[in-house]
Amino acid sequence: MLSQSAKDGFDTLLMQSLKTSLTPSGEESGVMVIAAEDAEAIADSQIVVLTVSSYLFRAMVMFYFTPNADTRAHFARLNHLELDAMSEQTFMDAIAEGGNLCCGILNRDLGNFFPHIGMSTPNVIDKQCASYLQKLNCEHIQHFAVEMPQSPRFYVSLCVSTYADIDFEVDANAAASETGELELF
Amino acid sequence: MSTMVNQMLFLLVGVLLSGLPLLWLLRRRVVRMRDMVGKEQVNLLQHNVQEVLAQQQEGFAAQQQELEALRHENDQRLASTQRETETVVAQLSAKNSTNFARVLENCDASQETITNLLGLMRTFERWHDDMNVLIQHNREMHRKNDEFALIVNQVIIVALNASIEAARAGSHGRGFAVVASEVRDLAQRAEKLSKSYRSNLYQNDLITTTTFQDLQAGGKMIIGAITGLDLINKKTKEALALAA
Repeated sequence: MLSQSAKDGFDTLLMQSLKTSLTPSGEESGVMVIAAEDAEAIADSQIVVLTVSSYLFRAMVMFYFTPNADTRAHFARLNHLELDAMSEQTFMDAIAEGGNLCCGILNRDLGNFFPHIGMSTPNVIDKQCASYLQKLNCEHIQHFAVEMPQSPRFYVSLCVSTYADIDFEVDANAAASETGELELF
Repeated sequence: MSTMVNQMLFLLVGVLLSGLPLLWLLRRRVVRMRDMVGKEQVNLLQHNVQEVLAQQQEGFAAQQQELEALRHENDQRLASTQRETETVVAQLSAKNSTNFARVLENCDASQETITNLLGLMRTFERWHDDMNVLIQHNREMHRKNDEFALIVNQVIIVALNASIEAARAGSHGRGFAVVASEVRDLAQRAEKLSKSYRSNLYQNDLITTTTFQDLQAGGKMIIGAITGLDLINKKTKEALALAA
């Protein structure tokens, strides 16, 4: 059973990590992460999926994307790469790394509440898989839209399955100020 | 005559004036002599004092002896207690050394178990490899199903063409029209099946990916916990080594 406070906590932490990980440097001021209604309306073609797990819950984060020119330009800016020099593999790696970075921050922040926690590596699946999210027996599903001035709108879905009563509270203001460097190990 | 009387008077007055202080001194000495203790009394008193003094000295000597005996007894008791304490300390020290050795042994055993447990990483890597094989397999099934869907579409078109041709042939083509219609029905069933199969493949992709990711993340959680245990065990060992 996931309390409302815990649901809000998961949402807040993911929104913070999305802002930090998906925004190219210098464009932070115009970034907005807002709740979105339905995954069916999302027109993207593929999904990068990652899982953050503990023995109490698993949180699956899905980043929707379409491998087009706008998306390529965004990830080139995000990774300080020349657009023309970005191969298909570099592009896919950059998208996966974006998801990796975002979930790494989420994993670190959730570690403040759950001492034993782990994170998967990213995988790419077809967007049509998103029609079957209810098959994952999730107690909490929330979609988000990330809006940036010079980039396409990105959608993200958070699905949380629980295996025990979970209740924790995230101070949104404190979470906003803790956007330090992510320790990679 | 009168001169003689005067001399007599002067002599009398002189005698009186010198005799009075003498008389007063005599009376005072008599009073003092009366206050003084007699010699016998003094001797008696001296004797008594000497007796009391002798008694007290005897008592003092006895008490001193008693104290000496007590001191001796206490010294013996103290020596005995010291010997007992030394024995207990030696026993405790021996026991402590045994316990120390046992704890260190347990630390080493824990270290070995922890090192073996860290080998679980290989199992998690194997699961990850298996997941990649499964995902690859699913992709192959997607590709084959897409090809199957194309064939089914083609069969539907062919069946439709056959129906048109049968209609053109009029009464001669009636039997052929029935066959074409059957083929079209079969193709439509096959198309429905292909779509259902496609849907199942997407569900399979989602469930397989998230399940294996859960295994992978759970594996990292376990490795993290074991690494924590490893750290605690090493710190305990270091502390024991310092205390030994």
